Amino acid sequence: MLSSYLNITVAAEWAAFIAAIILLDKPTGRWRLFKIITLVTILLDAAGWYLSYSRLLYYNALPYNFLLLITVVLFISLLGGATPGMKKHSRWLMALFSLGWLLNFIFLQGMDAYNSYTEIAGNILLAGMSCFLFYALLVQEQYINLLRYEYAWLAIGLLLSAMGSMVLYLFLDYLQNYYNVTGIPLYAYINYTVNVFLYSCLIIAFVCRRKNTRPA
Amino acid sequence: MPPQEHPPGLIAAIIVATIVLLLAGIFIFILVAYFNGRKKRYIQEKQLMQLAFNEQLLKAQLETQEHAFNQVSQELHDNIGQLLSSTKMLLSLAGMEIKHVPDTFKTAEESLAHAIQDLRTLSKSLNTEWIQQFDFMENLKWEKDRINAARNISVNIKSDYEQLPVDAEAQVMLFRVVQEAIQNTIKHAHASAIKINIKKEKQHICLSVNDNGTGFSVTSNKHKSLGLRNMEHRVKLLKGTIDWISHKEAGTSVIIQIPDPALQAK
Repeated sequence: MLSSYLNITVAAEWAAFIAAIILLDKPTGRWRLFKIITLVTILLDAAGWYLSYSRLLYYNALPYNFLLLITVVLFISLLGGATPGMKKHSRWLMALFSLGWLLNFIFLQGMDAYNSYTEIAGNILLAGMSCFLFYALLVQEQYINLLRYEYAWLAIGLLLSAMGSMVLYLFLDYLQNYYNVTGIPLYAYINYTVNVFLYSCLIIAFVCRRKNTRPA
Repeated sequence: MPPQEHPPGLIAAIIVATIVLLLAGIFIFILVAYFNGRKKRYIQEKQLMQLAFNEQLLKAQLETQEHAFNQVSQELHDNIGQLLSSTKMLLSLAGMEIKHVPDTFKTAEESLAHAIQDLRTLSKSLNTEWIQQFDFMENLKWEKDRINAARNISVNIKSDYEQLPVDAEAQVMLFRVVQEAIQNTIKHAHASAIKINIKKEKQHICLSVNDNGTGFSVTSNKHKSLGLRNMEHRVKLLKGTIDWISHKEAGTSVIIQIPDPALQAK
């Protein structure tokens, strides 16, 4: 039973959760939300797996759709807060994304299917915001060491995750079908790869955040 | 979803597209890191240029100041000094013609002689060329004698050096800093003693001017006082550091550290 639960993504999520618990304390401010977010991710993942494993539900997409909304909104908020001149726009983007999520959830793909359109829209949004953060860092007068800047690691993690999973969600049905025909879980491989990138960058970002919020 | 046929080559295209997009993400980051590195170099170059410019500006300011000092010194020596000398001569002549010279006349003549001596001393201390002919230690001792002669304040010097191992230009600058520190003590501190210590330290010459005066607030005066700023500028030009340690009614210490070229070469 447990072996069907454990996979690379789950391991990466647990690593990020433990890192968040250890590294993100009071001085790290809003970043402490990652403790909750990573825990919710683990719980929802476990719930999704359990629903599928116990065959209580044929489709286990429902919790993942909620997770999608929570994580994308949090990432927009963090990236928007770190990008000069983006804070106000990020509120609009969060509202817009939430509305899009709701419309897709109710009218388009529905709650039984994973909302891949929303995922793709979220990925495009986060990739764009990450690139904009990099641009803003380059054009500002002050020099920031990217390797020690938590938001740079967050942005690179999100950029790689968004770029890597874009094709995955565009062709999710084909990849599912390919698995059914050949037994090769290609979508899982792609998913593992991007998640390893994302969570590794997040853990580095946690370390940087902790260091940067300590007095020199 | 029931098993379906998928278009041939689609899976390969998905894999390739995913890899390409992932690489694109990595490429974007590398590109950003590269331009960020260039930005760092640009900022460093800009700071260096700004420093060099500031140094040139400071040098120009100090040269102007030295030039003004020289002019004042020349004026004192050639004009006021000559006037006072001729007045003294006239007074001597007048004294010869008077049978019973009153005491007040003699006192006036002595005061005038004293004023002429003081004026010469002051003129010399302002003259850079004159200072450059002598070394710092000699000038400092001479300055000490000048102040001690007034008997208002006593100056003591303790030094590990017979001669400072820095070039004449640096000695002039350091001398001006010490002069300013002494003048500040005389003018503002109501002190009765000044102690000047010059020590050999690891690769540095450490010079301190300590007084037993009223002290002052370093933080509030440091940015306002032109004199203190000039001291800072001069020490900066010597690639050294200057610190003021002062407490109310507990005196002031001015601590100057400049690199010792002889020790640094080792």
